[in-house]
Amino acid sequence: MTELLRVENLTKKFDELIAVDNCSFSVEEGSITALIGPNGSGKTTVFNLITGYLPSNGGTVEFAGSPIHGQSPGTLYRKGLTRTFQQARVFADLTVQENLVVAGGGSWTNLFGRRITAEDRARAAELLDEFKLSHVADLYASELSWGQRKLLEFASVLMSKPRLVLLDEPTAGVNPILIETMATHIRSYNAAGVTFLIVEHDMSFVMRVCDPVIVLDRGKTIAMGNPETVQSDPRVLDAYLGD
Amino acid sequence: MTNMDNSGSNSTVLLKLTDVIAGYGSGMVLKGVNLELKQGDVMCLIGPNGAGKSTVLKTVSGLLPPREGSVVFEGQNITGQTPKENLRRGIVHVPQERSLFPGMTVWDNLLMGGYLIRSRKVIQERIEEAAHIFPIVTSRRNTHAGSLSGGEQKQVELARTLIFDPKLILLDEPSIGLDPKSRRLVFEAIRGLATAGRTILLVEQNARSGLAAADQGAILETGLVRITGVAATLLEDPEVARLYLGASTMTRPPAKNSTGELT
Repeated sequence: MTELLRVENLTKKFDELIAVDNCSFSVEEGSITALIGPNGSGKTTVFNLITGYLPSNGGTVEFAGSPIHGQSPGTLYRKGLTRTFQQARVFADLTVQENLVVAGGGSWTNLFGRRITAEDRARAAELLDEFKLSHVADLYASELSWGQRKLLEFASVLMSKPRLVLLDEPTAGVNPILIETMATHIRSYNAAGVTFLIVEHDMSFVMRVCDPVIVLDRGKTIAMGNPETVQSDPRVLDAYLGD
Repeated sequence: MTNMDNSGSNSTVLLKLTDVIAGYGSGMVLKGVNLELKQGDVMCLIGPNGAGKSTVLKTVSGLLPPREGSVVFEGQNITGQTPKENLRRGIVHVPQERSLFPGMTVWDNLLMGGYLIRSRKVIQERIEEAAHIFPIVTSRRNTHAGSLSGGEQKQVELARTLIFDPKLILLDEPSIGLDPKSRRLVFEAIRGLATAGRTILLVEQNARSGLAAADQGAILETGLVRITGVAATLLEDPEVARLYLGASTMTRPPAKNSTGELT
């Protein structure tokens, strides 16, 4: 397999605090890779550095063989790199259904004033049904609960046609039954060629869905490998899983 | 509503919701919620996203006045009272979002928690009491709250509720976004509060852990309470597991076999 994303010696400082410390790892094309680690270990900061939300203090990021360092989130989205957030970001003043159809284009120029096809609508309706959002399809996204926004953001990603998706704690605040629906979608999207990098604390989910697993602690990569190996690594037990 | 409660306990009812209807804008989220919480119990509220769990907590603390129905606390009708009035009565609400002041120290955050209390001495005493259950209050007292880990911040938030000497603590998804170690700390802390005699109404999507930390459980769906009962009984009920709990959320799942299927 080829590397789709390569992070090398990435560093980010916030004043005195070194949030990401010479961090290096890569994500193979076609994988569902997990990025785990304790609260405060730098996982979300790594996401922000990769996706252009934060400038780094050193190191490089390569996507599909080209450096993407310093590029804006919009540019990266057009190149097929998309992400979700811990606190879901949706268009609050659009309805739930509108949120999905505008995400359908996969191209920024299509986002506003684009032609919304019957196919987009059908796909949106299907996703709304699966994530139990059909009854709120015509509500503004601002009227949704925290967990429902999380589901809407995830469904929006599934409407687009990305090459690499970064998911930041997709299951946080999501009902256990729908976590299974999420897992199913991630697997089928992956089978269709989409690569995933997932930050997640639900270890049961990580073990069932992800391979390989990268472990971050204090901004550094401390372990990497298949879920079973990582789960029994003494450094990981000590830093993250506990007894 | 199915009642799976067979405890037959006669202890005092602290909180009673009767036919509570509530919502935002034109929408209706709660469609006639009935719920009873006994003094000293921990009750965990679970259910699908958008079922109205957070809204139940808001109608109790006063953040959202019900349109119909009543909320009775210690035998007194408190329907439509303001959050400040309810805070004075002893109801504290810890929201889902992190609520500490990140630029302030742990200690100052606790002092802020006592803003309604005039006596400095009382505040001091209560902080000391809180430190018994949450040692972080003293061990990290001069640390800025914003530089604590998520789990540590949650512990400080829980400690801060004790400054009011609350009779009822409302917790909205306390384990959200926390790593496995921190999750355990938070659920242990909830048990610690229960042992200290606090009554707690808890909302959790981490349903198995939430029910495991609770005495009573209630399942909310589309704005109605569908099932209530002893938490341990709900956890063991196969139908409840199938409809509401999903795959096990334990930290160490069973190993996969070579085909990647769970054994």
